[in-house]
Amino acid sequence: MSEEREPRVIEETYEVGVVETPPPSPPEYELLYSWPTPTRPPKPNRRSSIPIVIASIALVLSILSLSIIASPAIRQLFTGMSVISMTTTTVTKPFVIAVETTTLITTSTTISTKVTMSTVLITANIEKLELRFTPTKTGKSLTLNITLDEKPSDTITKENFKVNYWYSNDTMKTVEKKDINVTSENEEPQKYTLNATLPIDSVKVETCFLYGERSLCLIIYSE
Amino acid sequence: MRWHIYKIHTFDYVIEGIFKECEKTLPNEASGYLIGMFSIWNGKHFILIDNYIPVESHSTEYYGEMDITSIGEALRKFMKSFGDTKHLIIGWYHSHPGYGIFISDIDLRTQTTFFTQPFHVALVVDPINREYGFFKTSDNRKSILRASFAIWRKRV
Repeated sequence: MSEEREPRVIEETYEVGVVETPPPSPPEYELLYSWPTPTRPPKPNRRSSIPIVIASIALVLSILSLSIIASPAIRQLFTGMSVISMTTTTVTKPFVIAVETTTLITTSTTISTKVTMSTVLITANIEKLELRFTPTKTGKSLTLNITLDEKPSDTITKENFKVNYWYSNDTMKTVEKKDINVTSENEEPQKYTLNATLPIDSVKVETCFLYGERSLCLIIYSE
Repeated sequence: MRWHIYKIHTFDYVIEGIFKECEKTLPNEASGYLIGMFSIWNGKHFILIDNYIPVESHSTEYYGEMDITSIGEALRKFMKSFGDTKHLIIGWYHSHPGYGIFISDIDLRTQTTFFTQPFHVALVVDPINREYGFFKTSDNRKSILRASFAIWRKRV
């Protein structure tokens, strides 16, 4: 019978170090792609000259645009709120819904911030989702409408929602539960509305809908 | 450029290489490790991914499981090629051939079980639709979120 050997336990530990190194940057590197894609056009090079014809066309178009916005009927579309709407497509896997994110940006003269990007990540049976920012005297009012395609087994309350927001210096704050208001309509499909107020100078908000082991988070960057 | 708005920085050869690896296994899923550094610059943390190691997996179109022998081989490759104190296994990648960029329940479980460090990320690649996206566990560790990234190419 062979002699029994004690197992050798490897107890070496390695410290994970943070490496001080600059990120890739011009001129050595060129940026090929980024996500989120900046929606703001790059600042034009002052030395470059735009052909006068193009500049003239742009001027005419901008005057025309202003005329359209000035129309009372159209103006309603542009004032009041920014809306992001998303459509959902059910896939075969249970509880997984692929959400097509579309960023519909409507600028508004009454909102000092502009929604520049949205993302959705999903693991819930959410049929429809709509988010609105509305300006208030004290900040930005966030409204999130969620429509579930099934009647949930548990009552949906404010505990099912979490809202975090960030300032430009990366400081994160969580909206207190007392400042979150959730209402629902007792009908099929189930509709829920979340209301929360964010500071006017917040630059990013993460709204999470937590339901059992499933969660949906929506991130909005503002600037 | 406000580089710090992007949490992840990587290079064209990394993304292109991973796409090629994922195309090789079509119609099945592919997976592997992301190699890089947890970096800091001007007081801001970021993740720099400069390489990857493919891992063979037992996979179907909708499911992939890394082969244990291949994991060992990948770790040996990592130690041999990146055995410095800077490089880490920064996360993992896997493909969703033709069914888009999202994190499934199984992916979420993989991420929250095996990739628990603040620098750990997941890359999902759809080689058929030519789409990809990075994901990172949220601070409360209850959900996983899309992570911002920048792809760079070295000028010649």
